[in-house]
Amino acid sequence: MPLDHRRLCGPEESQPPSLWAALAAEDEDEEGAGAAPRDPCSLRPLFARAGLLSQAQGSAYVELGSGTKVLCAAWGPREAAEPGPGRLLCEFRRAPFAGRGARGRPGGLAEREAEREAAAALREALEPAVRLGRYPRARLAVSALLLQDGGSALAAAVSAAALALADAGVEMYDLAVGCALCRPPAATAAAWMLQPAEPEERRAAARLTLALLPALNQVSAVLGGGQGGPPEDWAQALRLGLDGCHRQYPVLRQSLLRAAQRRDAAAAAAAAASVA
Amino acid sequence: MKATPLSNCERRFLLRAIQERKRLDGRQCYDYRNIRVSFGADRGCCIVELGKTRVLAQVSCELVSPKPNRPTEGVLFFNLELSPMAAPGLEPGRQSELLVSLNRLLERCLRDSKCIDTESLCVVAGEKVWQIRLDMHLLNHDGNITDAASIAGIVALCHFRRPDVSVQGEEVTVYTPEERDPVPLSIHHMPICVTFAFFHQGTYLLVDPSEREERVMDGLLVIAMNKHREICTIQSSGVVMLVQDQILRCSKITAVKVAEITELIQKALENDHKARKEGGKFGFAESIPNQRITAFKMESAAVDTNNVEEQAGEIIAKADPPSEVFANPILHTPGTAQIGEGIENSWGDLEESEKEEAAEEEGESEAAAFECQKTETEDTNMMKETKEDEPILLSDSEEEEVVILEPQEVPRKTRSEVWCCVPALAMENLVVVCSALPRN
Repeated sequence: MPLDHRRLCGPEESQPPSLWAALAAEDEDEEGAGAAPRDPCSLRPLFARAGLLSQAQGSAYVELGSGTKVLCAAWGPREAAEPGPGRLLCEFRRAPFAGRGARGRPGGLAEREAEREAAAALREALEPAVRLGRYPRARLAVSALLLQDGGSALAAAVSAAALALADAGVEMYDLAVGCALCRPPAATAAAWMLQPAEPEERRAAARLTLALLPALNQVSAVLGGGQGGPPEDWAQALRLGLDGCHRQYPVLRQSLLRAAQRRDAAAAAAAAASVA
Repeated sequence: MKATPLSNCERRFLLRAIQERKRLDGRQCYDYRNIRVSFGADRGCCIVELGKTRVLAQVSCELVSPKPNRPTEGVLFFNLELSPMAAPGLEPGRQSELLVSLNRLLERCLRDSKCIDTESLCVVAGEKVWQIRLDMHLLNHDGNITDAASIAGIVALCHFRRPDVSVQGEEVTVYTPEERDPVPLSIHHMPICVTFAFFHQGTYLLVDPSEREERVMDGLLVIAMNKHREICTIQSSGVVMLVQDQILRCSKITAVKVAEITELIQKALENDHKARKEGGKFGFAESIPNQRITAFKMESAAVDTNNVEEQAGEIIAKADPPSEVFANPILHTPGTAQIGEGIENSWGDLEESEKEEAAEEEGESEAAAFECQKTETEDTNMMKETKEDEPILLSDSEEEEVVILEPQEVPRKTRSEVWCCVPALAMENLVVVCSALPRN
């Protein structure tokens, strides 16, 4: 057989890489299961920054300690033909590299449906917070991009979208803060956990996401499902989630303030430069 | 087609009625509409009617290869379809958001709650598993699609029988229904969705909103629960305050409703099972009434008659006194009487022939004597009043000749004078009263 000079041949004793891939996955699972059980009420560290995209009117980036990264951009009121109060259009996209492992079917129906449901949930969560009555016949657009899914993706997207809208200067009643919880399968301890990581979410028996307007203490969206539990259990989970939202609120407000200060400083510098 | 928008007065009326705890169809706040479950001839086919909302559900199964990451579990596929048959506003292009949200809610309710045991659907691990497909179609939209669809879905799944399968080593034999009886799916529990609609910023709460109520509601809360009082799914939209209290309150109501609905479903399944076993007739032909004109009738609605007397008294007290009543019939001959007297035609001067024709027409219409005359007298009263006002200038234009017909103060001559001018015309058209011409 003629030698193929264009390709580098591997050594004779080669083994297919899929063997090693399976081993690596097992290692990971064991690690996850063997890790010390974390405090269910602890919030992971949250990083939020507003005002980072130059082209969009408002933008925000939220990163959770478990690795979830969401980037969100918002555009202020644009003329629309429909009469009546303004409309909020939300879009949620998962980046192709967002999840671990193979993507089911890229661009397939299941993915599109999941994205549409997430977009609808985003809209539900944000609509009560935005003063749509002040923008008649206008359209406000919000677009969220999930860069990495480390659990609680929708909750992070809600917070990012609210920040982006506020950064764009849209009038709002309050910031919407999102929080996710999950309950591990009944074999292990069945307590609800705040802000699950991705492996925990995958194995969870029940999941709950909620969005809260903290200053007004109004819940704008609740989305929960999974294997059943008594209502008191769910009520307790809600209380935990609301508490988590309240605790995240100061961080988001701080990021907005900093973004405003940065913008002022940049404007002052630009004005000084143009004068001089 | 676009759905007809709701008028402002309808919206106000609905909200006011809800404030007074009244619903359009007379239900209480926490009452469901009538639920009817009917089964088709095939196993796994059923129609659920929640009031007028109708959903058709059909379950089918197929042997497929399993998903690669779950080699020992069967595959479930749920699909709800909306079509313009259900409501004119549900065109294929316009309903995507509603469709996606309904589909996801039903998926979460039926799939994530693990009500169906997917491990039992495995035939050969890693190679052949059963794929159970549930298709639902909305036949009529009268509000609360979620509840109807969830009931239809779970009933169809309970009703369905899949072919029996036996595995011997490498051989897999699928038996036809004639060889071996089909086997039911193994269902752990029956999750049923209950929808709550909130009005007036969450103050008022209604269970099972109808289509009109859905259009004016502020927010929505859907709780899926099974009869063991376990919440499987919860979803809320719109702004809800004090969410924990609402959830606990709603879950108590949900538990009661779900128990009732589960009982109804069990009874329906039992009846159908009995009918099939005894060889009786079953299928839609039996359970859906014949499509005669009388088939669709309004169900009797309970009307609250507690305050009827007081309300009637109030209305009568506030109403205007009735106008002059002609109560004395004039008896001309036995069998012939005249109630009231006519007034002369006040349209102005007509020619002789027209007068005769007018007289004939007046004669015919005198058959419906009393009310017409009463309205005529009322009209003249009203016209007299308007005449006292300033004359209304219709237009300044000199091109049009606008003639305002002022109602003249026509002396109320009785019909008898007019009749005297009538020559001997054919009297068949004239009614009995006219035949007795009063003598002057």
